[in-house]
Amino acid sequence: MKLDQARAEFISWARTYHNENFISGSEGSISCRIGDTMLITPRRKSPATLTPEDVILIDIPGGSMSSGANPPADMSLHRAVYRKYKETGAIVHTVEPNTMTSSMAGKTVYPLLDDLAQIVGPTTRVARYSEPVDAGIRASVVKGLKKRSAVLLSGGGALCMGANLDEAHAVCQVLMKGCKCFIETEFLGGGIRINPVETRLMRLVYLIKYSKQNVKNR
Amino acid sequence: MTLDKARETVHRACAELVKAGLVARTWGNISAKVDDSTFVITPSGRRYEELTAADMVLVKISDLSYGGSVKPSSEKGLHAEIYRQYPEVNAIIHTHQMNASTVAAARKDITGMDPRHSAILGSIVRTAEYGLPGTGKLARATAFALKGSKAAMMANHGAVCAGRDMKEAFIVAGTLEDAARSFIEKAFIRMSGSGIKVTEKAMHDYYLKLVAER
Repeated sequence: MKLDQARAEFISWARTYHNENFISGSEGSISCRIGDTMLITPRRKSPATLTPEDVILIDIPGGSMSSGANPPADMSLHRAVYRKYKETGAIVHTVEPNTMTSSMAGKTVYPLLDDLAQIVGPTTRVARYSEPVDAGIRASVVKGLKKRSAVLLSGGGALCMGANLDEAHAVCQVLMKGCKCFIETEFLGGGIRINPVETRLMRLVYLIKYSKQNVKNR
Repeated sequence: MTLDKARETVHRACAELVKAGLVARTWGNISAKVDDSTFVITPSGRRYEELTAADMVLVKISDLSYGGSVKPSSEKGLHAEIYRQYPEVNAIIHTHQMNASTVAAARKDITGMDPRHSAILGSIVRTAEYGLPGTGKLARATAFALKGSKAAMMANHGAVCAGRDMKEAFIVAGTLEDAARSFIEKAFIRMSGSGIKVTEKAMHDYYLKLVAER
């Protein structure tokens, strides 16, 4: 994909995430990978007014970036995740309210709905988080993402990832619903967890079969 | 209903369902009965916005067989079971709607509804016994839970809404979402004590207080 086209698509997705409250003008960030380059939203710039020149380009292996860039505080976290998970093509640091509250509660979110098990994984762990991001936090987040598509950042929302920005968007949507359900079932006497063996099975079936149906079932 | 009309009805319903916020992406499925032995249903795993009416799959109620290379939704058995047990039903929407799914995750039945909800849904909306998605167990349990109502919830999964036609199935789905929201809010008020205005923020603050006290 040409860089100009990638930037235009990236800005369009940034607006979608912003319109759906996954990121705000001042908090949260999105990035995608094009080869060895990472495109990321700048610090405290509303996606509504983002221009192609505002999008920051970072060399993933070396860490160098476009001159005069003002990267977000979690930039090194995005880079660390791309370096560890080669199949990841897009990352979203979401600050959506249900996800944010779950991250503030600091409890592992268990799947009360099967789509969370399928699309995010059998649990959504909580990783350490604060700014500035240091090596310990990066290691905790990378570990929390093992065999998962999202990890809660203690007190700071969640990091969601996918092969592209569309897949990461699905992860954000399902995590939001899963967190909302986890919170509100407390008022109904508590949610009933799905059997852990079944959650692993659901995840496996989704990754091997169902996630490919949109292309294969024609 | 002719096959073409049924396909067109389901196709139109796909766009409406996403617009109404009752499903996102392909999470859910829709069907319309063609005659006493067949129905058409959305294909498995395809994004609704990319579908055409011709993509809707014709399925036999008796044995779930279908023609062509496009696979029907993996929940076809659930739809067939409802058409078998409730001859008056001509349209079914299986949603993953937010509030009904939350009640389904707590495996509660919705009772004590406002008259505007019970007039459409009946006096109770049950949550069916848990079953893995796509299984006969889940299909039978959900059809059983539909007795006396136009809607049922599916434990840890979502909801199913039935109607004499697609228009009614949509009204049922929308009403169920309102009723489920109201059920959750009443439970929150009971638990947190009167005087707290029900907002998302109030719910989240109270939840964090509960977690901190444990």
